[in-house]
Amino acid sequence: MSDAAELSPARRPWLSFAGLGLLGLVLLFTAFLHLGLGAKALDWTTTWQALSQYDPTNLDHAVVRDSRLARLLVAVVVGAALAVAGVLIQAITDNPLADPGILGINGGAAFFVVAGLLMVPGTDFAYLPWYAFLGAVSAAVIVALLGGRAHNPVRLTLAGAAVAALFSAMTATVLLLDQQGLEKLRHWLTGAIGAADVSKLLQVTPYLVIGLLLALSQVRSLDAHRLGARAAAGLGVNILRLKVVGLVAVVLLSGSVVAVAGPIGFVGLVVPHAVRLVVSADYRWILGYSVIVGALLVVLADLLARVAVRPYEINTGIVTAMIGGPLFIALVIRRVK
Amino acid sequence: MLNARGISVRFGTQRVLDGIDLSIPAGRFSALVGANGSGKTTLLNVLAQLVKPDSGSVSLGTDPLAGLSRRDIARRIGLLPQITGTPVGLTVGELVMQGRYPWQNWWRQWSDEDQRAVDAAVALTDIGHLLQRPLTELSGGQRQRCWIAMTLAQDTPVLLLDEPTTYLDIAHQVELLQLAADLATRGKTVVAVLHDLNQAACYADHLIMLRDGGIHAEGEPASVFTADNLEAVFGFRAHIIRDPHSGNPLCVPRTESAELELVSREARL
Repeated sequence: MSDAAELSPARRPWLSFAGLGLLGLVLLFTAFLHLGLGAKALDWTTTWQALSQYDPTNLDHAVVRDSRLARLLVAVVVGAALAVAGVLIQAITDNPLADPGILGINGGAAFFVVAGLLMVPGTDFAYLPWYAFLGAVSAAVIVALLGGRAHNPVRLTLAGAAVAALFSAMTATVLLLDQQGLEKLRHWLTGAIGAADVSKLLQVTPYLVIGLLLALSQVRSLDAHRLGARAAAGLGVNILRLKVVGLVAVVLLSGSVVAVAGPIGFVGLVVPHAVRLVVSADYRWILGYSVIVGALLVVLADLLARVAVRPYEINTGIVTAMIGGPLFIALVIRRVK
Repeated sequence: MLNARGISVRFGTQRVLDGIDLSIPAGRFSALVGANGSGKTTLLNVLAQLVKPDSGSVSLGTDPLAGLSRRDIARRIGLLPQITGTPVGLTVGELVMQGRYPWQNWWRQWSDEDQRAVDAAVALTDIGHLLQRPLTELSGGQRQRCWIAMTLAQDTPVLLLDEPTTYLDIAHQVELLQLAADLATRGKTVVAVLHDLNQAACYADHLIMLRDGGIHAEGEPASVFTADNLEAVFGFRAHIIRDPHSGNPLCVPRTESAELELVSREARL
């Protein structure tokens, strides 16, 4: 029997590392493009010098440093967080159509943020993440209850779509009652990385870190859970704990993102599917790749958002929806068949 | 070994198990048989504490299972449920290695002990040549052997198998039952839900017949595998004959033409 050598825990780890490194390089390159391009395109040497030899008196340097670098950072974090949330929610619901946006979690967070800001007097931006978490939890619980006990991906997805629509209608209603609020929030509501700033990002960083650590704490259970909930339970996975911890992580990650950049959809749907084309077996790799690919997707989307209709901008959330929507339809068609 | 006392389970208003007392003999192969909906799978899940009974308790040796964590139970009892789907993108080797889940944690990932258990499971199920293959490429029979290997890699004294022969052709069914019987002779306590009564009677040391959530009969196949019990449990009218080679009991359906033949022969006498 020759399997002693063949049967080892990691399947070609060097290949997985190489792939991750390559994607990291692609991300770096895209990030550099992101800094250079925009309403005003800068040449590469200027962009590079803004990073390496910063001259505060140079206006172009200031654009790169003060506005674009912050925006890039937000895009990277938002993409990574949404991708991890997507991996988790697809795994714990055992549903390839799951995504924080499709299941209404982003919509719930957005509604609570809008309602909190416009209707609760004295609401400070410091409370924003908590409104977002509360909304995300509420939406998740409602969708879980509507989805039923039996494993039924289609029913869960429909429940999510209904809840997302409901929250979006409620958000619109609140905004209609407050025209000034509409102006202020309209941009944010379609997923506006451009409007986000680093101070908001710093504010949610602890929650993002906790969410990521919770996700990492469950990788082995996620691996076992792929064999089916019953087989995993037989192996000793505490299914209830896995789902609760996973959901808390999803709420922290997507709630934070909504608080910073608004409800950006489809990243959590697209990234896990893209990553599984390359790595499939091990959730440590799936999560690692998702962080990079998620960041890459949102940086690219944000780049497109800024250069497609120059000098105007589309919102980043609209670009991710344009990429994710067709994929979602393709997945539904493949499953319904 | 594995003792259940006063187990009752309800799903809503439906009573699935009704006051079951059961002792699974240690180091033997027990077969759980009964009609569809008689509560076999639920009983198996209760024995592994995957379903919490509304009343009653399960203990392994002297330890009540209710006080143990899922992981602690999984180190003692391996449960292979009926497998309904095949995980995509997983190789056989990766599946078998999942069997070590209850023995691993974040800081201790793959030990010599894990390797030894996995190698032993692979050898017992004879799937060494399949390890690099994706599960989705295998036949149903091969795949089932891989799942069994995963459960064996769990290295538990007790093995609970829910309809392990379902997807297998006859040769693989027999092979698997022989494997279960061999495991019992090596000291494992094996409980399997089986559908084929003759196979159950032939390979199991201990037969448990379930009817409407209660135990109708329990014991050695020779004593409980009777025409009366089969009719009571399954509503199946059968003759019990002996296998001329092994002497094991076999059931054959009582057909109408055979009945008529019997009646007419009696009438002639």
